[in-house]
Amino acid sequence: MFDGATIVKVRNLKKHFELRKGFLSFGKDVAYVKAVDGVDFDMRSGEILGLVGESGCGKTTVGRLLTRLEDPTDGFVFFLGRDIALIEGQDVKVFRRNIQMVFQDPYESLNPRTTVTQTIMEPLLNHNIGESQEDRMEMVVHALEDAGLAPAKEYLNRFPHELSGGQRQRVSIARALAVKPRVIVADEPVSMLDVSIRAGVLNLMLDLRDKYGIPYLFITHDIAVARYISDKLAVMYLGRVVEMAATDDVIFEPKHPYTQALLSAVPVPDPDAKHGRINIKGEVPSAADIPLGCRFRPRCPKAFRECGWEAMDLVDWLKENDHLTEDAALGGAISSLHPDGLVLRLDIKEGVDPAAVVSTIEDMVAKGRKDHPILDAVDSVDSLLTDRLIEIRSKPAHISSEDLANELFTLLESTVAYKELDHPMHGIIAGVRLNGDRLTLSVGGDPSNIKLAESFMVDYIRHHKRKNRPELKGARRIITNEKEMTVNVLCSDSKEPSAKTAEDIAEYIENRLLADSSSDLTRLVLPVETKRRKVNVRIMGPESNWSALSDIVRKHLAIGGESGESISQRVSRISLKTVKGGRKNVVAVKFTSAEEPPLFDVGGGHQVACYLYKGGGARTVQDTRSAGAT
Amino acid sequence: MVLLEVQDLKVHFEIQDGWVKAVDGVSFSIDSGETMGLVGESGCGKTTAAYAITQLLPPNGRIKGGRIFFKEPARVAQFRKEYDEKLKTTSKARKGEISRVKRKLSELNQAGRGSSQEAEELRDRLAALTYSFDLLGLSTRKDGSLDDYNEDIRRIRWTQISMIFQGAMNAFNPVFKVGDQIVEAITLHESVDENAARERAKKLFEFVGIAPDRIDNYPHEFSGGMKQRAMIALALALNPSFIIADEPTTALDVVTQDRILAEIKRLQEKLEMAMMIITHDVSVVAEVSDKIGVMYAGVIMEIGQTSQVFKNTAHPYTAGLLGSFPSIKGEKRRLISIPGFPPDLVSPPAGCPFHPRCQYAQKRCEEERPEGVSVEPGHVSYCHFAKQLWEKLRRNG
Repeated sequence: MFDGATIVKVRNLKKHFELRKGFLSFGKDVAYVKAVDGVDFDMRSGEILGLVGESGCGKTTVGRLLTRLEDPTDGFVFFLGRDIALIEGQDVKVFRRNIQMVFQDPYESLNPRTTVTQTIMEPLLNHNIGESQEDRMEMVVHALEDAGLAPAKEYLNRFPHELSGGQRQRVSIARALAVKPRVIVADEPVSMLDVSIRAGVLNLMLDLRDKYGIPYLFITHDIAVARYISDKLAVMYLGRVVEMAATDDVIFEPKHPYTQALLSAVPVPDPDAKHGRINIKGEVPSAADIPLGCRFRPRCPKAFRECGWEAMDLVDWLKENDHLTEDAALGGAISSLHPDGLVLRLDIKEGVDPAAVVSTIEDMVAKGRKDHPILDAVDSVDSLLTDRLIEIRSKPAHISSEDLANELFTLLESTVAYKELDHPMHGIIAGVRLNGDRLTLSVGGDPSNIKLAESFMVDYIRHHKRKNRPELKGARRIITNEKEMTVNVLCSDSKEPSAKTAEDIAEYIENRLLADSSSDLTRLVLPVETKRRKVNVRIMGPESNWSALSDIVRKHLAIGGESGESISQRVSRISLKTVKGGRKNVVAVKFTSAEEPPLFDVGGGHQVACYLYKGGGARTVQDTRSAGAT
Repeated sequence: MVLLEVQDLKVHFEIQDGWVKAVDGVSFSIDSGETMGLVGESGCGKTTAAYAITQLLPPNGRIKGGRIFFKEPARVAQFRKEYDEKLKTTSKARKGEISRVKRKLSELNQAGRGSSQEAEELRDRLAALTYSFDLLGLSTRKDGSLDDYNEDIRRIRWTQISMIFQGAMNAFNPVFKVGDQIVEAITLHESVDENAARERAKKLFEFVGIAPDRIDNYPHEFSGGMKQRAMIALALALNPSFIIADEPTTALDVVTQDRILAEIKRLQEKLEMAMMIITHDVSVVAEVSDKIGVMYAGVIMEIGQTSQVFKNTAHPYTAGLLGSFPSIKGEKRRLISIPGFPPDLVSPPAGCPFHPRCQYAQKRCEEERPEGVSVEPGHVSYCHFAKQLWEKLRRNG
């Protein structure tokens, strides 16, 4: 019926909103609400993709990002192969014409002072569609009749208040369709409508899809509605898609524990239907404070060792199991608890031996490992040197022109799919070469393409510079050579802000220096902290660890050190510090870290973001437990 | 035992252009411990019917007829029905009967037999003749408006009949602590001191599944589901025998909705309360109620046990409503929408209000308001052709 060509590609899409705090918290770290936090999906022609999830899961924001009503924090939306963030000038208008929206509330999305004709005519005029006024009038009539408002002339001169809710939503649909878009984003289009009206609007949308093959992104909280209308279903939880597959695969064979619980909660209009309720704990956490590892883990009835546990979970577990009461072995020995990411710090009461607390916890972990996945995920229990610190200061990094050219080259290769047929730069950019501090784009076809390629590069560099690559300001000279048909980007030496350097150093220490899991060092260090220009490494265990670790850090990071990488050039000083009066008896429990589960394919295009399906097969809860215990 | 009986209730609202006939002749009854679902689309009058029971109508609302009997003893109800068959409400015969019963009663009293069985019966007869248990009779003024501050009603409201309001998000006062608002309800109606009331509020919180130490939180510190639970706690505060829940889960997400419905069911079974759930969502009533009334344009279309209404549908509107509801169970089938849209209640269609949208409508439907047709025990359809259509609708459903 339709060729199934990919119209929209969404990759690693993120939108983080800055959280405004009171003025008293001035200067503190800014918090972000991670409304959308890494979403991937494709939309193909003729296909309706249903996006379902509870309120606050970010589904509406995805719709707004797709239509460019919001700019993404990170990630890409490709529309017909084109990165929509890079569309500028006149092209924005073309883009907006191609992606149309149908909103939730038909009482608010239509201007009360314009007639139906004016409402639908406006986009036609804006986009210069139609030869003459008669032509456009015909389109309006056609759009209305398409939307089931026939005969159209009965409706042409009505105002919104003269229409019922269902009719208004039909006018919204007619308005979206009139400009012949390539994609429609429908955000809860039927949730305000009464049941008897809703079915008609849903059927209309299905019929129009069959007629024109326009793909819809259908955003809704109503799973029964999503099941009815969509071909493919994506379930969102807290900013991410946790499961995606053909609609009835999700409905009848839900794989993700969240989807299973969600579906079990949907009421069914049949009094005899059996209700197999799956209980999940608690409520959806705040999107400003997303759990580490798998974000559904704290509520998941099937969570196991690999799901990425953190300190907060252990505090909850200890409380639930009465280990923190005054007469419990552990509760009696500690004065306070400080969960911080993967590490739980326990301050020990005066006069209590930290070693005894360590062995109490170790016993608890050894005994409970089999039955409690959270204990299974404990990596180490150790006393902490609260007063010792390795401090590494960074300096603004100098980036040589060659390094910068290299970085730009890598960025370009990974983000611009000019080799693909549907990319707008296809055939214009024929190839990219790296030549010292120079990036050469060879341009194909007509000589006028040089101008296109040049303006593309200008936009591209400007966009990424603004986004998160300030160092790209060193790539400001763009020279075209018409004889050779090339566009050259000349890079000059550049500087990178020191705060970013500090982050890079911290990442290097965590991911490279301490990544070797065979080394005991990984167990010695708390999560590495960055404070503007400084990187602080705090140490667990006895005093000897401190000197051992500092030697290693020095060896790798000091100028001319073994890292042999540019990172050592960004370190200005390494110092060992003793924090005055910081000596306290503290025990730290550290968890193994886990990445957020990606979407695993379980066959037939059914994707699930859950470690139970790692490697494609389903593991039972028993499998995971015994694996962890060995 | 019948706990609440609503008889031919009519509630109209006065507006500029005339009268909105929001509820126009609704009758149903609820037994103690029973849950009834009242379903219908927005504007069908289901909320108005409920507010008439608690007597919380907006100022332009007028009672245009009907009676609401609450906690009427069985014998009184029986006598009332007997008299209603024999005597007209305002007839001379009724007045004569009233004075006859009164005279007999005073004779017995004078003879020192005021507590005899005979006297008891006469008292019940008098109550039946004068509609003593009619809530509307207590507070309706001559023009049909309700006296919100009527002392008798205030004694019943919340202590006997309480409500879970639509949109718990906004039902609490944002500037007072949630606990204090519950304490206030308790101390207003019962003579307990504040500490005892606080203890009770804490117990109620625990009962509905909120940590008791959250009692000192403000409404904005609660999530939607918690506010709804607190609302339920408030409704339960005085151990009522009847609760009206107006769209209790409409603003909630499915997971929370499911929990709240389970919670309501659990509490109701435990406390043996009767309940009326008002909702537009057919699947919600399918889950929780024993009995369903389907409303459309101010009147009841069909009423019966839940499985009767769902399985043996006997009204075209109910069939249309069920047919336009998508489900996640079973085969995907094309939804059938009901053509047209609900009528304007200022001038509703003559005859059966559903006839303009009904595919089976005939001449008679345009002229005559249908009487209730009993298609099976406890199952009534307000359709002229209920008996003929029944077989057909059942097959399609």
